[in-house]
Amino acid sequence: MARDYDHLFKLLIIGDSGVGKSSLLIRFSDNTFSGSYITTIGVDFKIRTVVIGGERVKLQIWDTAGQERFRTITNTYYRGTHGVIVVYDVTNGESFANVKRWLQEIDSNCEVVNKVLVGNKNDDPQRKVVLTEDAQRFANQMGIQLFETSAKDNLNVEEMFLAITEKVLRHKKQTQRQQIEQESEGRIKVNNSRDQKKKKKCC
Amino acid sequence: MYSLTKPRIESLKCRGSNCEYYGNAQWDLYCSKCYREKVMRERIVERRKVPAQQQQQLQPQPISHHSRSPEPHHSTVIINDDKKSKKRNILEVITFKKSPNTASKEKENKKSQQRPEVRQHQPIEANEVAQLETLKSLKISDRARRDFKTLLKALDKSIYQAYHSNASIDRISEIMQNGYVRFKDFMETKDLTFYDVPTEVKEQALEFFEKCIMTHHYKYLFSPQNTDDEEKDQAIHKRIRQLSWINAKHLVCSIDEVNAEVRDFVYSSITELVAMDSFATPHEKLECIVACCRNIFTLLKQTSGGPASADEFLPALIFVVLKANPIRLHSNLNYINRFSNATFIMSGESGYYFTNLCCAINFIENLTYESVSLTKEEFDDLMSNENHIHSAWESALMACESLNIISSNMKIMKDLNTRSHRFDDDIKLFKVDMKEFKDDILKKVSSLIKSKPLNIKPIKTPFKVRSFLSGTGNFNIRRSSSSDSSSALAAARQLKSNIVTATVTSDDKNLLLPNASMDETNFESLVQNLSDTLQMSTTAHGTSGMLSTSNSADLLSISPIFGKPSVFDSAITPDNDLIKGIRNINYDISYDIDSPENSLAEEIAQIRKYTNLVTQNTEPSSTATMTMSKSDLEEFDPLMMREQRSTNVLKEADNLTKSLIDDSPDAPSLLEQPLMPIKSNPLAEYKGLSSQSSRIQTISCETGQHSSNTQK
Repeated sequence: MARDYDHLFKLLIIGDSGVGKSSLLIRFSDNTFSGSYITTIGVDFKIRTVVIGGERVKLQIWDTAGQERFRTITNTYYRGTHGVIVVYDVTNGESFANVKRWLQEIDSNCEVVNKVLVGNKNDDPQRKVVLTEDAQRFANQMGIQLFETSAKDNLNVEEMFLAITEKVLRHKKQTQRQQIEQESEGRIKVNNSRDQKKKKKCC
Repeated sequence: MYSLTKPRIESLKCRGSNCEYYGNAQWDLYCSKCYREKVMRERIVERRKVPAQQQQQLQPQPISHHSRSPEPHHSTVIINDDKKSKKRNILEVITFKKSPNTASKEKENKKSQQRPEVRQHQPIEANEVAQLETLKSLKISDRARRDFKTLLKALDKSIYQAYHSNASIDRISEIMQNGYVRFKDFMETKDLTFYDVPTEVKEQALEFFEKCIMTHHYKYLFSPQNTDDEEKDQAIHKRIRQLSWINAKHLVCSIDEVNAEVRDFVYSSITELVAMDSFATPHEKLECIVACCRNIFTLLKQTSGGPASADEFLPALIFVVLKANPIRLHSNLNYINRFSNATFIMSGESGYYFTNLCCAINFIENLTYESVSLTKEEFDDLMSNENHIHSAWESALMACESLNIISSNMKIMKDLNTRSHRFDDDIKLFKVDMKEFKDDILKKVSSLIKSKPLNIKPIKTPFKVRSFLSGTGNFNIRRSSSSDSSSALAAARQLKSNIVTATVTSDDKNLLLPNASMDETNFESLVQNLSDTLQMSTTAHGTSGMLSTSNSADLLSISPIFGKPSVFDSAITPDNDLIKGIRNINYDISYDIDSPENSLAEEIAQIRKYTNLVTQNTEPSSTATMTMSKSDLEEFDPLMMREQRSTNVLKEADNLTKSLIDDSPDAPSLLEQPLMPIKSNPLAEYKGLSSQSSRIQTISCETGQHSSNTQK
């Protein structure tokens, strides 16, 4: 096969405006940090291929606008999304408080999706407002894995992305297995329903 | 009689109203004037018609592909027409709105007009031919090509059937999507014709597959009747027009509306977005969206100086959509959504941008006062006053317009300035060059003068002339002596022998005369004039105070020496440099040099003797005049002789001159004469004359300088 990847996943980064979604993305895809002073590389559309368990996984990471006023309209982004990265700013309590709303948003838009919680800007302990314990407690409560990262110092960024990818991959394989099982059981059933549908409309 | 002829005359009259002239069958029974007027009028009408036709051809294009095939529901067709006209109005409004005379806007309009032209003017047959060409160009085996065709035909047929059986658009969309999946599966399946084809070609094939189907069914599947796409289009169009007051600040986006560069990016983004409508396939439409969004990203990168995030991108995109107000926005988006390969809109760059665009439109539709951070009152006020308030963008546009004009004018001014500077510099350079040239010439001249100084050497006068000279001298002296002193009597005795020789040589002289007279005829007038003036000057000098009366003839004879150079001057053409003039003068001298010098000393002795004699006879102060007169006499004694002596000689001379003139009708140039050394006797005379006295040197020098001055 000439294809340069085995799996293609679409990941979504959501979170309040200014929590460093783009920085995380750029750090991961280009391995550069974009403070206002370092680089001029922009987020056009970021793709990176990683290898997990010998399988090439191509990651498409969609950045989203985090502003409050765009919250209601971002539902279209969720279409076909395999994993969501929810980002908050450890130096900004409000962004952490909004995480709950973001999670609700995800639930309302897609049924089953792999999530990961990321506390970004974890590079200055003096400015840190959201304590790791609180965040961890919340993550446990919601059943999500928590990462504290720093796009600036390149802390945990790679690990976080690999973790979500692995999760998505595992999930995919699981669903595939389920599908195969289901197909063997309910093939006729599906076909029947389709035929019925067709007939209805044709008339 | 009269009554009979009258109608005939009337019929002959010009057909033009109130024209009293007669018509002509050649000019359609008009008179010439009326006919010309008529023709002119017709031409004007024609000229007006042509652009109108062109406009008609151009105008409905974006809509033309909107027309559907005749449908069973006539009512809907009529409604459609109504809508179409509405749309046309909208379109016109848009084009009107969108064409402030900026270059980019014009470009945009052109682009949006040209693209449909290219796409839609092609009849279906041509399209099919082009498609066949593309199919041939695909690097797949013939069998694969055949399979491709079969799959294509199958899908085409099913869509056609679905459409004509009034299936819902969603159903057709499903068929299309299934078709994509099936084709993709077919390509991926092992042991089939497409399996060993590289991925890129597969992608091309898939894209081409889509293109074939969608171009074919575009008019049925784009904004179909049984959907509310058109209503939505109009609603969003109206909505965007209402929101025209929104500016970048309202959206908290970093677009600087007044910056020219930013504006250009916004314009190009808008262009791409507007162009979306003119493409037939979902893929091409998506490409437009991608191009638009990429422009926005580049713009954001430039303005923020760093990478742009979605936080900045989405507001910018909303801004662009608001300012572009693309026609049939919903129809286009739905068309893409329904018929584009699902993978393109679910993932990938095109998917990302498409999603963002959907979000932007969603935002615009659901925009409230909160989303633009205004109070409800302010928002309502702005919404209701949309017609009265110039939007910030528009005023910015206008401001930018004037700024644009200013900047372009500045550019022109700058250009003119540089050009004028260059001109000034060139003038300066030219002046320098001129000066250099002048200096160069002067240097050359001075060097020439230095290298060939005007050394007037005493020249040996041929014997005959000398003897003649002595004779004339004797005359002169005799005259002077007769008028003057008695003390010269002794000297006169001595001169007697000379007189004898003079008389002896008089015959020879006579022979010389005609030649001399020939020159004289040329010179005569000039000589006369000059001699007059010279006479005055010499009298003023006072050196020849006593001699002036007696030597009037002598003074007259001075002139040739002056006359000659002056003649040179006048004869010298501007082309001939003063060098030539100098050369001429030098020539005179060099010519002298050329002449045999063996008798130089002899001559000097002769002159000395002369002067001695003169000084003996006359007062010492008159030596100068004497020498001058001597030289004059050399030349012009013949003249005097003519006056004084026998008429025979004169006649002879006249005859001779006549014959000579006849022989050479193109009167011998004065310049040439001194240059032609062959004419022995008279020229020898000249030689002797011009170079005779060393005192003349200064005079000839002056004339030389004079000539150089005139040259400058």
